[in-house]
Amino acid sequence: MKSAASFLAIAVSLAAAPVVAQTTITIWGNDNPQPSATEILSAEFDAMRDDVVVEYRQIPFSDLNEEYMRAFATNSAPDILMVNTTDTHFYASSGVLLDLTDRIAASDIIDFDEIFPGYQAAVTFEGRIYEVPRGANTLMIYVNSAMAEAAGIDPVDAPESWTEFYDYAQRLTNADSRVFGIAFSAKNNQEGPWQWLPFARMAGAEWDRINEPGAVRALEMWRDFVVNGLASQEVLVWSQGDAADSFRAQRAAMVIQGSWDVANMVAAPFEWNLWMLPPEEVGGLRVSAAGDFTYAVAAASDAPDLAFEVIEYIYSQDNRIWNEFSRMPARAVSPENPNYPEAYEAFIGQLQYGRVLGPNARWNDVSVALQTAIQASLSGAAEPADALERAAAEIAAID
Amino acid sequence: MIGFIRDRSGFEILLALVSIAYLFAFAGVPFIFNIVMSMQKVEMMNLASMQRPFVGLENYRDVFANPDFWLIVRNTLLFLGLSTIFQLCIGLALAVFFSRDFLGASFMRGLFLAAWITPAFAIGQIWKWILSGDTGLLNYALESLGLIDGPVYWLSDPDLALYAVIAVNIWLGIPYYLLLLSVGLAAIPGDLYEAAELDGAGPVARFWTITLPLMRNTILALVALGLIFTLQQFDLIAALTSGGPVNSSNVAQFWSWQLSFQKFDFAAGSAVSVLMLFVVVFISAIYVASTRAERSS
Repeated sequence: MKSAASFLAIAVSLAAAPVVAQTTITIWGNDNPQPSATEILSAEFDAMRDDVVVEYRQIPFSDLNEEYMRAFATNSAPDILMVNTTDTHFYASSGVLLDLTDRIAASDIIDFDEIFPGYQAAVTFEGRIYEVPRGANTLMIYVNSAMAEAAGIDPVDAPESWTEFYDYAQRLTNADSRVFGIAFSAKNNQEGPWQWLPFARMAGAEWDRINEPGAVRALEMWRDFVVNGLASQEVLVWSQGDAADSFRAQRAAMVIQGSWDVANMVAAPFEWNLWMLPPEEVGGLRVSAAGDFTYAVAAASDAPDLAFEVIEYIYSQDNRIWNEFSRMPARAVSPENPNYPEAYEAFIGQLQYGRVLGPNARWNDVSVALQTAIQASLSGAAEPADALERAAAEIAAID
Repeated sequence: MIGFIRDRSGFEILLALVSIAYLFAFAGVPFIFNIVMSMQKVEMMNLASMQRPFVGLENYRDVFANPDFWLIVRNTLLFLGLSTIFQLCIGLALAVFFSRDFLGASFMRGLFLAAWITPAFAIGQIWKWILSGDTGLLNYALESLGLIDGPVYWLSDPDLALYAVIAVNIWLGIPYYLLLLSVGLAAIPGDLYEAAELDGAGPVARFWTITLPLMRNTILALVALGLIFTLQQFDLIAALTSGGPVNSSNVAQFWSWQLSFQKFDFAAGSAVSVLMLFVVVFISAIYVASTRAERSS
């Protein structure tokens, strides 16, 4: 009697359990700032579907590639990974990502043609698409309004040439109160070239011909900022976050920083304005940075269709991501009532001129050559022209 | 068989075999993997397998031909040498000082452990703030005292970065020498000192003729181990300068990691680590010889 009762109890509890088999989709990535857009949006997808459990793992930015390498080497890669636009061609060329071209073509949610051209180029490798852009970010100059006015500069009056830009930095530098005119990042990692390359591009150069006179002029301007005391020597070891911290601590009057940081900037105890990166000459070519992450599916994933559905869902929420996560969509989708509307307008305006780094499958090696040139010039170890010659030779030698 | 284990030396051999098997699995196999990898062409796709194209010593030639190679060798030697010399001297001085057994001596000696037990990365972050050029505590203190009149860029000036890192490493390593040298000092019988004092030897003479000779083997063993630990010091450099600027504070162990995980040139990273291996083997040989001498004396 007892055993029959317990048998019945077990049978009932088994019947009450969900019959649907659950698939786990793992996502690895780096969402900055918090809250994590991917975690929240994928959790919404999880809640909508009984057959899917989504697990998100946040990895620090500097550890991302190392984690992915280890995962691919040990066959423990996640289903979905976030790939930075600088690395998209690298991973695509190494064969670890799933070719998404057909899935995107058949998708009702993703329309590839409406994605901004720079991002289209970043995710396309040898004619096939391997990633879906997650969003767009760009760099602009944040300027402390009070400091600008004190130096006789109208905060809404962006510099229109490099001469004017340098002049502003000079006037905004106050040696007595230890305030620097400008802060940026020239660190020996991806952040240095990311901040500097738009200037080289505005002068007509490009990463595969980086010894051109335009690039030399761009690097000389940066060198002059540091050597003449308009920027702290610490830029050589600062990340973009560190440079922005010095701006928020009112140790620097201008900072070149990204759209992703707008929420932190709004929390700062002073008024600031946004300026587009100035062209070299008045009316000259405008370039800014364009980056952010993309979503890719691992070729070894055992649930690729489901993984792609998660990506589609996140993509469909693009009209929310600015207000909730300070991220701009990589396509022309406008949120209604955007937060910080003036800043949003400014970023969208700057993004028109945004260009991604590379794209190139060996961008890491290119980046290292550029980092060396930037650091050597800014520290006075080499003349910009010589440093860029060496960088151009190293880049040409990359096979 | 059971008799052999129970009555004869079989049990000791069995225990030793367990340790050897463990060491082989977790240290030996990666070791061999590393050496083999340094002689192959490695890409992300063949990272996990041992089947890769064999290229002999080409990776080593590339490492030697790298324009940064000699700078990094110089930095590493300076890092090892200066760290060890100052750690040893300061550690020994402090050990002798604390052996005097005054009130609070053992408590203060314990406080020095703080540097040893705090994770190196946390120490790196704290020192990064202290040494920061514009907003750092050290510059503020020095300027308030009037010793400098402008910010000194300890970590971002290529001429200073390496020495700043070495200074922090010295601070980090003093407890190791302090504690272990204290143990060695405590083993010296006190009546030797009393006899020498009665014979008229001053403190310096006592140090030179009694302390140092009796501590000789301990010091050699500690220096050998200390050199190996210093060569493994990674977290500090990663937290303070990441080898920059312009590789001025880059040392071999950090460079090996950079090559593998930032440039994705795994073969070159392995080659550098194998080169470091030769240095470590040499130091280990000295260590083993010194412990043999200590046991036989």
